[in-house]
Formats: sequence, C-alpha cells, structure tokens
Amino acid sequence: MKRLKLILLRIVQIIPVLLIVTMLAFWLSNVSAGDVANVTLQSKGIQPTEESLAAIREELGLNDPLPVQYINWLKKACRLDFGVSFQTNRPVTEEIFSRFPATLELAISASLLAVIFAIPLALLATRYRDSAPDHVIRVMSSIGATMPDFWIGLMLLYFFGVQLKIAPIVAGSKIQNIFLPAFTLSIQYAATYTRVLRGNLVEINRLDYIKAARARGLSEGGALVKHGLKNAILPVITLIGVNFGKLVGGQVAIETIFSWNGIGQFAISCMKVKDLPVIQGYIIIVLLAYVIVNLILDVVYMYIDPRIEVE
Amino acid sequence: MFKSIVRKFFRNKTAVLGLIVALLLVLIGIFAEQVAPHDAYAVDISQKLLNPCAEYPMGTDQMGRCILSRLILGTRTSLFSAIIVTAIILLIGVPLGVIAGYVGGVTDNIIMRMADVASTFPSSLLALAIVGIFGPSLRNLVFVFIFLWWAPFARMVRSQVMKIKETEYVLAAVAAGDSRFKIIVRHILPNTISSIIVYATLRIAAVIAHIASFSFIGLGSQPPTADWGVMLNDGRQFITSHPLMLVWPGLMIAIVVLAFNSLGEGLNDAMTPTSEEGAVVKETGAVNV
Repeated sequence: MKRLKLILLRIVQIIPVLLIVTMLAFWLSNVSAGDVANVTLQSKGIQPTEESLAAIREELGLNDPLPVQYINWLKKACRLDFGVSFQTNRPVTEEIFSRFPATLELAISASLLAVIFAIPLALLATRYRDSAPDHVIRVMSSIGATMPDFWIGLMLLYFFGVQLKIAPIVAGSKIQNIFLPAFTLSIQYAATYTRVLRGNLVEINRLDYIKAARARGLSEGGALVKHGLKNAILPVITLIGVNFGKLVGGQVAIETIFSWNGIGQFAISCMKVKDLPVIQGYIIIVLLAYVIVNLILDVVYMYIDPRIEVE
Repeated sequence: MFKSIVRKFFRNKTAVLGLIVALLLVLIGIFAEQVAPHDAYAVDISQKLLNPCAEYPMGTDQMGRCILSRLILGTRTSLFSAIIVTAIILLIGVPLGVIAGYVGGVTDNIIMRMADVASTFPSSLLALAIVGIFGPSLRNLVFVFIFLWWAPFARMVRSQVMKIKETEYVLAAVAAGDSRFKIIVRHILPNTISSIIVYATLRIAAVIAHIASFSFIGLGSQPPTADWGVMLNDGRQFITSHPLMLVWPGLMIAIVVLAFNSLGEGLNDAMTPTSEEGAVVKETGAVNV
C-alpha cells in the first residue's frame, strides 16, 4: 500500500511539470515562422489566398479558443504526432527516433565509464584515507566535477584529433569513435560518484559488521570490497539513474563537438533554423523519457531499499 | 567566533587563493573597459586570426578582434550574470525557506511542493522551450536559471531554520514573548548566514559554467557579445589552425569556476564546526547541480 501511495505521490508531483512544459511546447507552434496556416499551405504547395487561408484555418482549428487548440494539440502529441519537419518534410517522430540509438549508446557508455572509474577510486581513497592517494583523488574529483565538460571535450578533440591524429575530428556516430565523447561525459559523473561513494564507504567502515569481518581475518581492503561496497553503492545507484535520465535526453554540447548524430545535436541544429515542429517533438519525447526513467527508478529503488517511506 | 572563522579560513591555502582570484576577477569585470588593451568589439578584417604578438597578447579572432580584450569583457558578461542570478535566487529562496521552515504546516507544504516542481524540470528542455518562444538571449537564459534554482536554496534554508527553531535560545525568545518577525531577524537569520554564503558562492561557480555551456550551443549570449561560450563556439572551426582560440576562453571558465568553488569549500570548512565538516555541501549536494 505504502509503495503504491509513494508512486501515486510521484505522479501527482510530475503533473504540474507536464502541464507547464506541454503548454510551453504548444506555445511554440504559435511563434513559428509566419502564420501557421500560411506555412501549412505553402508546404502543401498551395498558393495562399484569402479563401484558402480561411479554409485551412478552419481545418486546422485555428479559430477555436486556445484551450481547445491546446487539448487538440495534446491529443496529437500523445500519439506522438508532431507533424513534419520544415527542413526535411519527414515526420518529426521518425527524425527523432532514428537518431535516438546514437544518443542511447553515448548515455550507456558514459554511465558505465563513470562507474568503472568511480569504484576503484573511491575504494582507494577510503583505504588510504587522509593520506596522499585520498588527497589526490579528492582534488581530482573536485576539479572533474566543476570543469565544464564541453571544454574538456574540445581539448581532448584537439589533443587526440589534431595533435596525435588518432581520432577523427569529424567522427560521425560510429561506434569505434565513441570513447572520446563518452569519456568526456563520464568525467563529471565519475567525480561525483567517487565523492559520494567515498563518503559512504568511510561511514560504513566504522560500523560493527566491517570490524567483525576484519576480526575474522579479512584485510582492510578485502572487508571494504566484500562487505562495504554493496551497501555503499546503493545511494549511488539513484544518482546513476537520475543522471542516465538526463543523458538520454541528448547532450547537445558534447554531441555537437564530436559530431555525434544524436537527438541533442539534431534539436539544436533545428533550433538554429527555427524548425519548430522538431523542437516541440524533441521537448515532449525527452520529457516523457525523463519522466518514465525517473518513475522506473523510484519503483526499482523502493524494492532494493524497502526502508524508503512516504515523507 | 568570527575571528576563529577568519583564522581557520586563512590557514586554508587553496581557499585563500580562490578568494584572491575571485576578487581579482570581480575587479577586472568592473573595470573591464579600462583594463582591456583594445575595443573588444572593434572589427578589423585585415588583422584577423593573428597569432599572439606584442600588439595582441593572445592574438585576434576571425573578425580581427583582440582576444584578450574580449576575454576581459567576457569576465563582466559571465560574472555579472552569475551574480545577478545568484542574488535573485537568494531573494526568492531565502524568504521562502525561512517561512516554510518557521511557519510549517500548510504553508510549508505549498512552498515545498513548488520547490519539488522546480527541481523536476530538466533544465535544457526548459531553456530550449523558452528560447524557442522568446528568442535566444542571455536574459531569457537567466530567467530559466532563476525559475529552476531558487528551489534548492529554499530547501537548504528551510532545513537550517527547522533545526535552529528547536534550539534553547530561540525557545527562550519565544517564551519571552518576542514577535515572530523579531525572532526570525534576530535569532534565526544570523545563524543561517554562513550556510547561505557558502551555498551562494558555490552557486555562482555553477551558474558561470552553465551560462558558458548554453552560450556555446547558441542558447545564451549571442554573437558578437564578448562571452566565453560564444568565443569557444567561434573558435570551433579553427581547431586545427588556431587552437589557441579554444584554449583561452576555456581556461578563463575553468579558473573562475575553480576559484569560486575553492572559495566556497574553504568558507564551508571554516564556518562549520569540525564535528560536522562539510555539513552544508553534504546536506545540499551543492557541488554541481
């Protein structure tokens, strides 16, 4: 019952966000280049005249009151119907979904890399707490968490692409080129996870069951890995999930720098030419993905850690 | 109390360095026109893409503008917008946090649910929508940041106030019949100031990094504005021929962000009792939102 209540609470919390964002997205259709009726006519190759404009206005429901227009638009949006892209004349949904795998690949690789870096670093920092390795890791994670990722990306591209010439400058989303963008993205997450994980490990290290494990003859490091890590990693899993939700929405700057043909880069290039149906579609689809990922996370987390209750 | 904080702060070398750099940057921002060797907006195509020389210490960009001057003017753009954003989220977040924490009940509930909503927004989606509707500009971006970021502030202040409310001296003031307003101003606010300062300093760093990255992708400042993000975007096409164009603005962003961060963390260490070291940062996860 409690779990059901918590999930319901989350859904209620999301409703205002959904309302505001969908309204903003709907508003976008009214600022599109020129009159909507005009644009629609021209895209069909019909010369706009007084009559044809009036007819298309009626047909598109542009004479209805705004709330009615919004509801109608929302109905179409729920079926993921956002019309066609001004640029390519292909359905918006098709354009976005065809680029989604590239973004997903990047999101998965970056999340994995972040965890792969964070776990050994946090273990090392905990094992050698308050001595040299800990300090070095602390400074590194502090820098890594605050450096703007797109600049790191530019520098890496210069170093590996221009200087060493081992990476292409215009990569295109080929899987063999994924390391640089994924690594760039992973840095700030790795830094944050290392910090959180170290904090948790230090706490857990003080607890009786770790002391007991050491008393049974496990080395300090062994006790940490075997018994500490499992419990310390739990709060990090939520973080990973939340960040994964963000990554799935597309990383505009990194995708642009590494010419990775994902949805973030696509959205921003459409922004520049005011291809507003695509922006609308992008906003709604990413919002839905974000909401769904977060809901799934809440549910998963509740089962992993049953102590979570409604506040 | 104050003396011991100052002493503790000045023993921390990175924090002092952060303070010096931050102050220096603020001064550069204020006196940008006086400090800059050239006019940051003066286009001179005959002087384009020069390498660093005596006349132009960092070279010129594709329009022949002095890169050093643009960096200096850019300090004003990003530092001042970051300070404005932080000041406004303080003005919104602190009163709301105090009210929520002190009054409690339904008021608390309403404010906190609003904060929940603000924290659920993915920032890039909101920025994209707002920029799509109102056009790309730094002002619209600043609005987005304010809309999203008052919430963690309010939450942090609220939790502090709830703790302080239960302390004996506040209970004594209540028993003595002091008015709510007096209690808040005299007893509660002074005790939250240190967390607010720490949090605001860290927030400035985060805002600067965000402004740069949104300007880089074209959602913030627009060319020809002297803005580090815009400069990096300009420099992208010259990555093979003039890589230095990409180094300077990025270095500036990194220096500012690191300076404000180490200043914030130094203040945090100095202001919180050793037993709960890192209390504010830990509580609010203020590192990088």
